[in-house]
Amino acid sequence: MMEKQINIRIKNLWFYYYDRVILENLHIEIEKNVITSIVGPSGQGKSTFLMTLNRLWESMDGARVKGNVEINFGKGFENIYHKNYPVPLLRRQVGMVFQVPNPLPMSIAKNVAFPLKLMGEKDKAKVSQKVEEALKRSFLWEEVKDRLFEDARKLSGGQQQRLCIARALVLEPRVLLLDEPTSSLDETSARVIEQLLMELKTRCTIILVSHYMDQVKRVADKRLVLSDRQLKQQGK
Amino acid sequence: MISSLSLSFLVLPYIIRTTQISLESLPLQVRVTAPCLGATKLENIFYVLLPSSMSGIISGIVLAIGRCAEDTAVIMLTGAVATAGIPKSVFSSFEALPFYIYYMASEYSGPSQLMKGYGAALILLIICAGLFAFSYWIKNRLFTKTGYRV
Repeated sequence: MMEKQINIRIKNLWFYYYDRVILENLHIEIEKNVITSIVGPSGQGKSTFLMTLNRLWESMDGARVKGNVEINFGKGFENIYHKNYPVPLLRRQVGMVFQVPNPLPMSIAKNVAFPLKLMGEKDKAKVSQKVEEALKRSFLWEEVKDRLFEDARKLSGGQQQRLCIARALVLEPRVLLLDEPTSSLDETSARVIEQLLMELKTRCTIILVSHYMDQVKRVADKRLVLSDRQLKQQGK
Repeated sequence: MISSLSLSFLVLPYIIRTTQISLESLPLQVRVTAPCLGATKLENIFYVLLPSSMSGIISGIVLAIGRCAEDTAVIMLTGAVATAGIPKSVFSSFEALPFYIYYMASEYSGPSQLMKGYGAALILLIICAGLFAFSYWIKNRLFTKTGYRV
């Protein structure tokens, strides 16, 4: 039997929003290359929990975190809350996809190439190659290869969401956070995304927030329930 | 020169406020997209936020220019005279339409001078209407480009 490999270690994690406690003293370990789903009633802090893993909460007024999150990006565990930890670097290694697709007002190719531009990648051939790879990995290449320079907002909802996944994948993140990625999509598009997630888990650790229990049963290897400010393992 | 500096100080708060409103009215998802991909605050502002809210910012600037064109009190103090002709340098005295209209309306000596005053008022109105129309056009044109109504 293969020994399980831990990718993310969360210790004594508290999240406060002004004087309200949203997450209380969480201790959890998340395995590498599996899909971990987070379920639970609305308003319990599932999206907030995801934001603690890429420090996106830091842009919220009144939010505060106490505790440690350690992630292994291949060179041993690193505390992402260390005062000198570079946040842009963290966010390049921990990709995030939101509930509603959020393509930037630019072409399909430029959307996917945007993170590379942020990294200062100037080699056009390399950028084109990485864009193509990311679009292929997100099952979108065949549908858009002839219109890469069209406005990304002209794509359908499902295609836009796959574009956002491609944009997150272009930097080859070790961890991918998905916040209800199929809730604004129809059944067919949702199934394509699910199939894509099954494919992606061989390359990165996926944490999926979902309200659909049947979807969780289909794709998740581990299930965590967030309720009463606590995160607990449930089922498989 | 002094007049233009004074007017720019006068409309600066208006431009700052319209820029702030334009940036704040962008959806949260747009504001967090670039930081999620590893962008710093400055990169987010220059690559995503400013281009996305450009229609609101430019409309604000054009409306502020209209506000300057109509202003009288500041330029009366800082260099406008009733009859100056074409200024020779940025430091020369100049004629301003609002002041010229006021001068003609209060000091006219015959119907032809009063007509000149009306003519100047009409020109000022056309300039302001043109600026409003230009602002409206920019707003709609950039909306189709960026997709964000601000």
